[in-house]
Amino acid sequence: MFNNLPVLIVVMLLISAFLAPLFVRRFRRATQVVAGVVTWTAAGLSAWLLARVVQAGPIRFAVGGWPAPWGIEVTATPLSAFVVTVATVIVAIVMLGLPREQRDWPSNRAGWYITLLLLLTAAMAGMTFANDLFNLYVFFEVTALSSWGIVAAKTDRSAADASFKYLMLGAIGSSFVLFAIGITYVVTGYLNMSFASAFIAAAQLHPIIPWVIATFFLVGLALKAGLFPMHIWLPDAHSAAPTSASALLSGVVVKVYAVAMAKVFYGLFGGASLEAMGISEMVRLAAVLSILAGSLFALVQTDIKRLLAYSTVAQIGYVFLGFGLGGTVGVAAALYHILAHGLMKASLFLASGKVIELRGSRNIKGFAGAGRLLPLPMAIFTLAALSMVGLPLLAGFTTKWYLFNAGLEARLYWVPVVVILSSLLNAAYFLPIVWRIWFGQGEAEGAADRRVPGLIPLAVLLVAVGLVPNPLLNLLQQAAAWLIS
Amino acid sequence: MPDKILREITSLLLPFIQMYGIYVVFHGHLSPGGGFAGGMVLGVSLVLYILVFGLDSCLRKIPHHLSSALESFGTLWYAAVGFVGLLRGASFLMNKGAGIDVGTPGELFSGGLIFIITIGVGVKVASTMLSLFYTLVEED
Repeated sequence: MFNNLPVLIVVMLLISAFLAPLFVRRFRRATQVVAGVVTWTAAGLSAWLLARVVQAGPIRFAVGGWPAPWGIEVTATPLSAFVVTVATVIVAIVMLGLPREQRDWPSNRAGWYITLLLLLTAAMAGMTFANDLFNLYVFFEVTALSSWGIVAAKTDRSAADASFKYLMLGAIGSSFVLFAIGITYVVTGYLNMSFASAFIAAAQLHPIIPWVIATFFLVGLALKAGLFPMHIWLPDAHSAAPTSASALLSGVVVKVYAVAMAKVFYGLFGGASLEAMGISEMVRLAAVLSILAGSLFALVQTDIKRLLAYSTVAQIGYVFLGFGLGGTVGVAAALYHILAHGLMKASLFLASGKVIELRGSRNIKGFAGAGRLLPLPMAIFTLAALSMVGLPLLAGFTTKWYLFNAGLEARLYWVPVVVILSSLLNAAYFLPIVWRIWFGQGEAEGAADRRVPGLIPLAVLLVAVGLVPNPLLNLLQQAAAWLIS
Repeated sequence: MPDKILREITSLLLPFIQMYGIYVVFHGHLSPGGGFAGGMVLGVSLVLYILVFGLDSCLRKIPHHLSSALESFGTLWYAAVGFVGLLRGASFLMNKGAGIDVGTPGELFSGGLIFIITIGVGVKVASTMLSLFYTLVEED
């Protein structure tokens, strides 16, 4: 029974995804509540799974009783259980705001939106648990399809444009990944990652073959994750989506692609041969470019949602940098940042969504005087922004500190420089907004409804992981050690 | 479209097309094809019906909300069959290992749950084809 848990988490979310459109017409409120309960249950089950996996070792489960390499194999490692827990918890928290957000939506659209959110969560969990490449690809596509859907959920012109752009570029990314999987299958004869990896290690392949496979995977997955210079769809898509979708796309979805990359790379090739092939260096280079370019683009934005989206381009660079540096410290930093950035970005999007709703515009000028209007949401916005900048005691600082150390450990002395530079850039675009919120002159009236559901749990978690990072980091180093070995 | 030849020939062919679709769905465990291909043939037959006899006559038989509901039903059917293995003490989606009689290979009623599960896939694919066509037509 316990071995079924990874599959059950995915199937539970899938079933509820397809139940939602059946009932939303008559029982909208109940559908929203049930969707929330299911997501919280999935979050609880994955946390339980994480606890068990850390204690008792990873679970390998053959779906339908067909053993690998013929059947579909699902593995719950500390790494995948952690990522699924983070994803489901953040989705569950963001979904608390669903009833308020969908107040004026027609019931057809509300139903499909819930379906897409649940489908997205299920697919992310499936992608993280999958141990064979084909299943990974299927869930990869389901994640992409549901992301395109939720971007277009607002049904205005800019959302349709952004979704179409995302669709086209996403299709290119998918074809790169499919090509990489195809080459892997032709060369090794296996789709199961453990078997393919054993084959690659044992066979005397021409060094170009693993290099080509890894490069195709890197381009495809980095495009989906929005790494510079393949980020061009991201600011449009993440700013045109409804608030909750922006929070999830920026906070969770792009990270799952980074985790998929780490799983495939370490699963197929292992850290040492990645370094030897120069793939790690390529990842690090793309990550650094992403960190710097994302922040520079964010600096000149006047639209708050685009600013936050460009900031995501920079922050996904941290995750890739951690994976690229390798070693337990680097990977642990990447995993920690997946959680920390998810919490920060979701809070920032939810809080600014409220300001956009009140001011009726996405310009950052609208933040002037918002502190008096919405004291609590803006306090949490400030907290998350300071954490982005990397103020000590907050979660963003821990990531930066660990990347700093991982860079020194790997004797790459430019890494600390980039981390500090990025902090300065983050400060340069976040602090003016924070200043505007508390000291700017603006209309301070018209707030009938000051609550933003879900913001307080996010803030509590953000402070908790920032103040007491050690238990979590110990766990993550264990997960990282498992990934690397 | 009052084209008599087209209507007569379509009404003659439709039962055979649908029969073939159902055949492909039911023989999924024996021959190439299966739920997806058979569902596709069934869905295409409904699209052909709309093209020849008009959207309204198909909407009267299968309303849009019914085809959407059937889409959900197909997926839920698949998941529900997956739980049979779990309820019998084995794992999710398990068939023979869960002690289900798989019959003689090569016969129509063999393969245990595979036969039942492809019906869900067929319903899902056919209704998705129809829903997609409805959505495309309604948007113009």
